[in-house]
Amino acid sequence: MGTAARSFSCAAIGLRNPHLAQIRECRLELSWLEIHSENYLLPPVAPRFKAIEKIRENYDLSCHGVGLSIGSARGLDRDHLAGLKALYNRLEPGLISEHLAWSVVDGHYYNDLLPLPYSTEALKVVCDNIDLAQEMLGRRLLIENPARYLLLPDGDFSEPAFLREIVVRTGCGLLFDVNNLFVSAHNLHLDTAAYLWDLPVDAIGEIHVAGHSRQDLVEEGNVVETVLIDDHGSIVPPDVWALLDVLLSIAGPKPVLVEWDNNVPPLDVLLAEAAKAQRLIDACQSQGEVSHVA
Amino acid sequence: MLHEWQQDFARGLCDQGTVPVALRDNQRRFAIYRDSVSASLVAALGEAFPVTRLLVGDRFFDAVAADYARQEPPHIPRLSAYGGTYPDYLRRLPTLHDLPYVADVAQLEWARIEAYFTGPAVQLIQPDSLLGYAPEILPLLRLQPEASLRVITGESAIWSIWIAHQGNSQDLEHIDVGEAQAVRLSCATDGVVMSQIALGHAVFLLALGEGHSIFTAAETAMAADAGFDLQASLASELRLGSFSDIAGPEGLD
Repeated sequence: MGTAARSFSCAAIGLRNPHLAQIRECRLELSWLEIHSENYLLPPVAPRFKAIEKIRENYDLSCHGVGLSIGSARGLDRDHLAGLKALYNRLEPGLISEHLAWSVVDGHYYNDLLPLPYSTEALKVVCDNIDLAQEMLGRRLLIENPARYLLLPDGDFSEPAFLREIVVRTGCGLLFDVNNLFVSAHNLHLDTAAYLWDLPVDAIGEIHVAGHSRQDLVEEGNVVETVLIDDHGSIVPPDVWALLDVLLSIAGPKPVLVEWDNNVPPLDVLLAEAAKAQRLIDACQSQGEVSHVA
Repeated sequence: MLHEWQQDFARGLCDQGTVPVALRDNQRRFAIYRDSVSASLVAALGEAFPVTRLLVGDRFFDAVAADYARQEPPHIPRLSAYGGTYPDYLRRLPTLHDLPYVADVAQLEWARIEAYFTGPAVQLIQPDSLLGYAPEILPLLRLQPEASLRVITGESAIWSIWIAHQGNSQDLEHIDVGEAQAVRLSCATDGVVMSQIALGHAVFLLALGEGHSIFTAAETAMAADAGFDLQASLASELRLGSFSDIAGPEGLD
């Protein structure tokens, strides 16, 4: 990972279909891009695969899996894992990631990042699955913290403690999603400072930021509560930038990705968001240098 | 135990009336996941079947797609492969019985997706490949259509309807929706190429795809469409690069 990791020192954007042709034709001031792995599980002759191979010539890639279902109690889908392996061997991404969540049970795929109870049993399931994935893929996985809407019973661990355990037991890294922490903290009344204090920040290999929306939950015509929804459909709000700033000050400079999957804006809007993230990384870098000199 | 918990959770996602026992105190929050799963699958179907959605309207399409997603959730974590049975689902819907063109157009849209994700053929036979065969052997040859080639025939004007929804005009006034039409699709290097073909031509290609000889395929085509022109159809398909292999009649190879 050493050489590859060095090119992941700056902010980037997720590559979305509406921008594919535009990015293939121009050379952005970015060193890497993130793709959703499942969008490229295609025959190499398919036009979209040709496009990503062309783009790969100019950028490093982070491949973000959304369907491996690391939290499935009955283990991983070997065919899916084999598909990912072929993709990664072909694209040679510098970073690969999956979610601390599940989406598959009894052969059905629910296309969402469903929550796991942070129990001792779930810890074993997740670690076994990560071990298998890392062994089959021959690469280190980064695992992403989920956005949560439900406080599940039967938890033996807090989320950062659970993340620490999987890092220690499997050697995986973390993809830390700042927006997900912000959303979960609001919805489950978590203390972000205490959370970050417990988080194994040295294991973070990539950071996500994104926008979220507010949703009023209504009962008998009355709004009973307002939850935040991690919908990746708008600019990153100031509170999330502020939380990113805090995380960078603790963890040091890390590659930061702006996620925007719904209501995808024109490319320049997305690049402006990445530029904001870059300014925070730069500020964190220069602070680090100052304290190093001092 | 975790497995049973996940089964319980999944049942709640598909059935409005069910919430996992452990989460009954928090049905509102559980519904966030149910709504999210449904919305994402409905959105995926909307992207896969954009003309179908225009034909029936957003509200109807989304409601039907949500029912379909509950009854037939995806089997694999690749949304581009989701929706293959949706055209048949639409065909079985009593509310669409009088509008068979809706399912026909959905079938066409799915063929387009299949062709795109198959990608262009890697190996094709050359247009002049048939020249080396003796005239009496030629009709007995079998031609293997390349993998992305799709032929869709409908009892309705699928091509006219589809093409009318590609721009902003959507001029449907002059379309006779009851006119049976056929469409040929294949994947080129930069995307799917579609064209309307004569019914006989479509039957000919379908018969070749089933492994019949040129002779048998032509006979079938002629039975379906008296105007079928074997020479013109074959020449145009060879020129388009539609075949990946030639097989001689058994015993002659």
